Amino acid sequence: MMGVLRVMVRKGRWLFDYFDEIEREIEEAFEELFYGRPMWDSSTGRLEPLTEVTETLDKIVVTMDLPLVRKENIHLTIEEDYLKLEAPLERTIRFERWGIIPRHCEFKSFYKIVELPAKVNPEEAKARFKNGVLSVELPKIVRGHKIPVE
Amino acid sequence: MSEEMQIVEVKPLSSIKYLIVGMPDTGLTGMIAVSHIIRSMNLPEIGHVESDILPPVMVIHQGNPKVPIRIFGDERLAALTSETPVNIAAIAPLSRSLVRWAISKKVDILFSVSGVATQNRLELETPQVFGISTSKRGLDMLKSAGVSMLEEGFMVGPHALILRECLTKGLTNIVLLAQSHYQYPDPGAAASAVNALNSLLGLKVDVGQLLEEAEEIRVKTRELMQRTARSLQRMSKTQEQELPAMYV
Repeated sequence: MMGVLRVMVRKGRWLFDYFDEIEREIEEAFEELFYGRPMWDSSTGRLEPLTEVTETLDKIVVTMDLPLVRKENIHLTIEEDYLKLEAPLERTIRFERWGIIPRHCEFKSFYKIVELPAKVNPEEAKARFKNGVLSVELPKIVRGHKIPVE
Repeated sequence: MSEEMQIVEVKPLSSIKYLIVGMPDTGLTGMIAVSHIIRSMNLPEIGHVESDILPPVMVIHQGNPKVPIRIFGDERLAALTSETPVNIAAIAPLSRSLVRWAISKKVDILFSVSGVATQNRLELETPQVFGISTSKRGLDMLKSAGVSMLEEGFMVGPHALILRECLTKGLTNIVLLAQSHYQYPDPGAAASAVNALNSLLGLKVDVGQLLEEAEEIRVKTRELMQRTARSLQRMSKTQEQELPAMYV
């Protein structure tokens, strides 16, 4: 039983606190491994936009934060299992004196490929852009046979 | 002073009237708002927070190494902000140390500035600010400033524990929550929070520049927002969007 094994350790902390801490550190290390990459590529001048993918019962909604982008410049490609966005920035963004970059680095566009968690029907997708936030609704493909319930 | 968390004063002050706290969380609202106040009022750096349980991070500004959690200000107004999200293990010690330090500095009111995730944020031209306070005096101030009360809901994260510490220790805490995006930086929400502080404290911080630079701020804070969103996920921040159980 969990409550029986209560071993007091140094500094008055319970052994289980240490287990929790170790578990948390492992989770954080894995997160760094998978997500801890830069959101930019100075060789192509591309930035990765912040993206949120939510799944409801019948659709997938992808939103992206696209500041400094004009609606008419957004290029979206949608397939059954992914969405690709390319959007040039209104003006070049420069980062001066950052890190070991000798002079500066410049970024000119947003670029992102989003893998979708379920297959969607691209022909019925709807996109909306307001206050610099793009929202794309993608109806899921539902295939199958109706069966009677006994 | 907590053994786990140390507030180092590089320019010691005997007392501070108001303390504003804005750390990276929902929409980076509090951090953007407090950073804008620090910049607009040209508040000098007076201290920083050190601890072995904080992330092993230093930032370099104009060639000078800096601790990410720093305090700026003077005897009338001090402001704490952080350039990195506070990890979950550090939240409770930081909240305890901060409130203890505020009391030792005879702080009259501690203001916590944050965002509250709002589903229809895109439809809102000017986000509304909601307030919570630990004392009647704070509630009266919110009312006089025209800030609506948050009647029901959850608070999760550093500001929740600061609220609890203030409640326990008898320090007036006013929490300002501006309607904001959850995981996109929201300078518009920060501007609303700054305007609420202007009304509450009689400040004259102009939000024009903040709104003019909003899109550039959104581009340049993407990575901090992404890291913060992961940190919020670990502390179950989405609980703030749940409907509270009405049986208790």
